[in-house]
Amino acid sequence: MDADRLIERLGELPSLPAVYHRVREAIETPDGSLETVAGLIESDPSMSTRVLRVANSPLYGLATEVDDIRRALTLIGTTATHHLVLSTTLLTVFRDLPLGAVSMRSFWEHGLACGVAARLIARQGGQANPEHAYLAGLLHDIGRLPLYILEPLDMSSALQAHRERQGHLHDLEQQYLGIDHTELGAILLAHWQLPEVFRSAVSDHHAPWRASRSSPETAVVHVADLIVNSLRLGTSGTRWVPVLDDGAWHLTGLDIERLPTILEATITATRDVISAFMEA
Amino acid sequence: MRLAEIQPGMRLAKDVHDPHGQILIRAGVVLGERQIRALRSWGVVEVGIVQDEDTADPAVRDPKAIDEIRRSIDIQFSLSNREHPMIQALHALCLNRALDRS
Repeated sequence: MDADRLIERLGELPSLPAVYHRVREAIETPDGSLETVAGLIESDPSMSTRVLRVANSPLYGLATEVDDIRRALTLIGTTATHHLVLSTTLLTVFRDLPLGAVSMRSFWEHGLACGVAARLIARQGGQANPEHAYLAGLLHDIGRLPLYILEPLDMSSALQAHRERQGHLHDLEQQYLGIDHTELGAILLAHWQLPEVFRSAVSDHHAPWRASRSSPETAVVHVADLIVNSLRLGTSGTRWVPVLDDGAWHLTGLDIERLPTILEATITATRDVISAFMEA
Repeated sequence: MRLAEIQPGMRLAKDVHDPHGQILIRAGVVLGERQIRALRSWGVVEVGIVQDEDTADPAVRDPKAIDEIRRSIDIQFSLSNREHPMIQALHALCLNRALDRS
């Protein structure tokens, strides 16, 4: 399998809708206002519904139920607004495509659970930015989407070998497809012109020891992915718990004794966050 | 259980107190290497450990089913670094969770 050809075919994937790019532009304009952003979101009724539902989910911990887009955006802030619109957009665009061996729902459950866990770890450990950790967690396995969609046969051979415990899935991807989901994921984010900050968490979450580039967010996503895999909250194909990088573990600032709390909170919050994102 | 036999990932059954009755570590905490080192440095020689939560009520548990669960969790962790204290604690938590749900 030729990795370059796979990269060239990324254009066959659905692109992000114009409304996302307009929202981002409005957010990044120096004199842009949440007012403009709210207007854009409200022009898309199904997006408005989803944005409100997610804003009211445990992700943002708002004190009271909010039923107005403007107010919701003001309460959660600019960065979280961008992430919220990006995540609801991605989950809508990649919702009904068949992935073969893994269901799209399970794929997103894994991503959302990882985002929830990453946010909790970032908050507890005090080293990473919780909002960035959340989005990096949600996106960490995004490179598997093109692998499943564009190369279903090779990917199912890799999955079969993984099921037989011949190795970690990312190593088998490399073996069967000549590229793994971390590398392809970072290229996909660039192709979508998403902010640079998420690329290293996506490209290094299985190799956080690439220390020169390793950020606390990358370390947090590495640990969150491992926890969520061990709890089997959804799956992007991985069946076996990955190897923990000791440096990343220390970089998160988390104590082992906090693990039970993190696990419990991840399980509970993930349930609510999934239903906020997934309900029709 | 004697402190020498304590392994990371075990769960405290009783609070550990200092000689003045101050709680050092609360019951229910899963011990990591750091806590074990701390217990050693406090001169604690014996602590109450939650016996395999699965065998707490052998009358209602089928030992075969328990072995099955234990084996499946071991397989799930077989490609990970089991010698790392965090992985040991996570393994113990996942095992307890699987047993609780069975």
